[in-house]
Amino acid sequence: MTGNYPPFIHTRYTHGTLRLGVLIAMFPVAAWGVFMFGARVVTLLAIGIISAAFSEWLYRFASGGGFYGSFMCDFRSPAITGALCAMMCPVSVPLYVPAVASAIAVIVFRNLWGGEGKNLLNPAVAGVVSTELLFHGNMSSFVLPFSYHSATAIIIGPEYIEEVGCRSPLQVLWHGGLYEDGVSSLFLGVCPGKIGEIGIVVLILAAVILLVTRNLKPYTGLSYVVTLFLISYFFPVGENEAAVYALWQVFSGSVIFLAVFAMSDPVTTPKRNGGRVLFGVGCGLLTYVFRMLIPMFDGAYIALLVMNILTPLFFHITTPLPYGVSRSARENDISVTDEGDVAEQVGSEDRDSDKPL
Amino acid sequence: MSISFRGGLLPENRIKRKCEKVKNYFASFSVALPLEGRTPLVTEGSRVFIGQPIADGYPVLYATISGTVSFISAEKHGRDAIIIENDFENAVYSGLCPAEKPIDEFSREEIFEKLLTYAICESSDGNLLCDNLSLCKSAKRLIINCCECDFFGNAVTSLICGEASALLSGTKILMHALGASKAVFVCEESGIEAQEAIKNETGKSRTFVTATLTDSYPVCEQTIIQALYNREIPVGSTAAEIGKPVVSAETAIQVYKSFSTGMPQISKVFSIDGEYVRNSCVVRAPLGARISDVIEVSGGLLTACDSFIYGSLFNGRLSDTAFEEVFAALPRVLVTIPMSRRHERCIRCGKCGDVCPMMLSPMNYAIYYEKELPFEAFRHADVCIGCGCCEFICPTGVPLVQIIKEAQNAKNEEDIWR
Repeated sequence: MTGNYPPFIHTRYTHGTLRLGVLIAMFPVAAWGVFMFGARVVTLLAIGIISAAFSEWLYRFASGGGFYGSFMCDFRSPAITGALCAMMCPVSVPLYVPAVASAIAVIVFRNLWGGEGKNLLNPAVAGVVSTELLFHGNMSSFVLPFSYHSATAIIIGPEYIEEVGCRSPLQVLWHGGLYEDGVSSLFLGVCPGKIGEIGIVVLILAAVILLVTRNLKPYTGLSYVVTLFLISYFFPVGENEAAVYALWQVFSGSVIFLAVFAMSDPVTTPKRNGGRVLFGVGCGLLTYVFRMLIPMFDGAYIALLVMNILTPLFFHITTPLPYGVSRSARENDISVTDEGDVAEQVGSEDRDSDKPL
Repeated sequence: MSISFRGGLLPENRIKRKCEKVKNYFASFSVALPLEGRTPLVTEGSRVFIGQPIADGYPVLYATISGTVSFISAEKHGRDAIIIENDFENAVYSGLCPAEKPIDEFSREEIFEKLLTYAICESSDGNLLCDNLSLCKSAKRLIINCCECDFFGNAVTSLICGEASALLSGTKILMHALGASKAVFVCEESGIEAQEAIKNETGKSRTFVTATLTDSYPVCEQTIIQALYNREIPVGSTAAEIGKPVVSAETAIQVYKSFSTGMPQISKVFSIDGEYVRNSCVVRAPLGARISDVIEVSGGLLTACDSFIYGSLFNGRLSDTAFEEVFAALPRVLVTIPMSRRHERCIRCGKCGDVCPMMLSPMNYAIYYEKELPFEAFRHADVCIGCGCCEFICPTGVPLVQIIKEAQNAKNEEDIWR
């Protein structure tokens, strides 16, 4: 389409700059992961990103894009997917795990679904869940913070993992206890866990970057966190103190990570504020339920994917009638023939008398 | 406390200009006044004066400068207009008829008749003010729109700062005509100069109140009614029809001037700016004056440019020439190269729906267009006011305005949604 149609001015926040904003927001999270778990994190992230970019190219090449033509696409979105996949893995996973997760995410959950914008599920989360099903043992073995590993070893030996291995705070919670280092260690991120999911402080910093770069609407994430906190507070499990248990539920596992990164994906989350809040509330409730029902597997992922499926429904029920349409529908019933009918159509004039304007 | 309406946006790349003195420019070499089916009352070569009726019709056409009629409705020239060559004497027509009695003694019909006689047009849409207001059967409030057309102009603020008393007097005349007991001046939050000018005039009067709108585009009668009264104007209706008439500040000022002097509407205030203009300014120029002549007032252009935007950056009209005439609904002339965007596919981010003041989901129209669905599927596209917010915010540059415009044109050709 061509023509000299307005507007003659456009926002500076284009698709490219928005994607760049997400990549920038990932930087502090990745840096914290490197600080906690060493250079192997860099390798995992690089493998995730390269695998995602290669998968994108491969899909385009297989779709008839040509060898060189398939390079002519924006690789920022696959890079984000790949980095997210790597961040949702523990540092001790074999190097091929993030590669597989990224490939599944990009090829199956993004491109086979019709490409960017048409996917129903969050590709990175769906890719990681698939990988968890395939490599559950690897994806659920965690190591102590500051136990640095070889950056290049494809597989870390089981004897070494046994030496530095430990339970993540979420696994401790599943076993009815609380992580012994306290809430502050969870908040600061000095605890075992997946690369990007530890460190609530850096995740909050990432959220601020996403807000500044207009990538994040806070309604979804906030309603998610608040709902999960409240339901955990009112229905604590075991003999734990309610407030501490609720904080544990929120800070452990992938809740904050998903609230920041997965819920900043505009495609798989609702488009209206009402829908965003419903989405967050539903996610919070389902996270609590799935964590009770499916131990040894973070229910937050499943909750998010279930709510992703319900997103079109939320869009449908929260989309308001266009401006003036409801009135015109009423107009068919009320004939505008005299002053009284007009007053009936717009409501009583007297109601305005109380208003200052 | 400021009030806001649903949707809308605040452009991050906005330029807020301060108010300045309005420059009068009546030195145009000639004016071309479109006849539009009216019957000429003058002949070629006859001398005319400012405010003299030169063609009879609805409404009467008036000379906007003094001078000599050079040609009339000559089909050989390919134009249906009266051209007047300026004699630079600015001689005023002697037969002007100001209000002959106090305003309180005028009836509603008499005031409407005067508005028609003075050919006063609403400055936001160019329609006759008497036609707009006659749709209003009764009104308790008169709303005066004191906001700019977008965040890049300063013509309205400059005019209000210079002529606040005329604004208040014009408002009183319109209030009397409509039987309104209160007037609401709607100002932008950032338009502090305009707010202060109005408050200085109105004092602590409870009859005249100022409502401050949160800085957001677009400010039109739909969004004003929504913000002030949380009501919606039915599709196809106007604010006047639902008893909440909205009149722009410039129009109210013109009403007072016409009633006090008898001079019909002969001029238009607008701003000239843009990166190619030597000095930005706000000018009052005669209707029908050539815009290229008026641009000279601002010191001309820095370099040659063939890109002129008439109106707002969001919903104005792009032209490659300045050889066009000043018209009643012209808010600004911008000499600049429009920002170009690469049009990519819609990624369903939904940002367009967030900013749409009409609560539409333009994303759906982009998807339908992509799927080449027939225009029957584009339900409620007729609600769109073409403000351009959706396309401004679209991160992939989908030409949403053009898509919706096509759907609206298809609807006009064939009544497909009824």
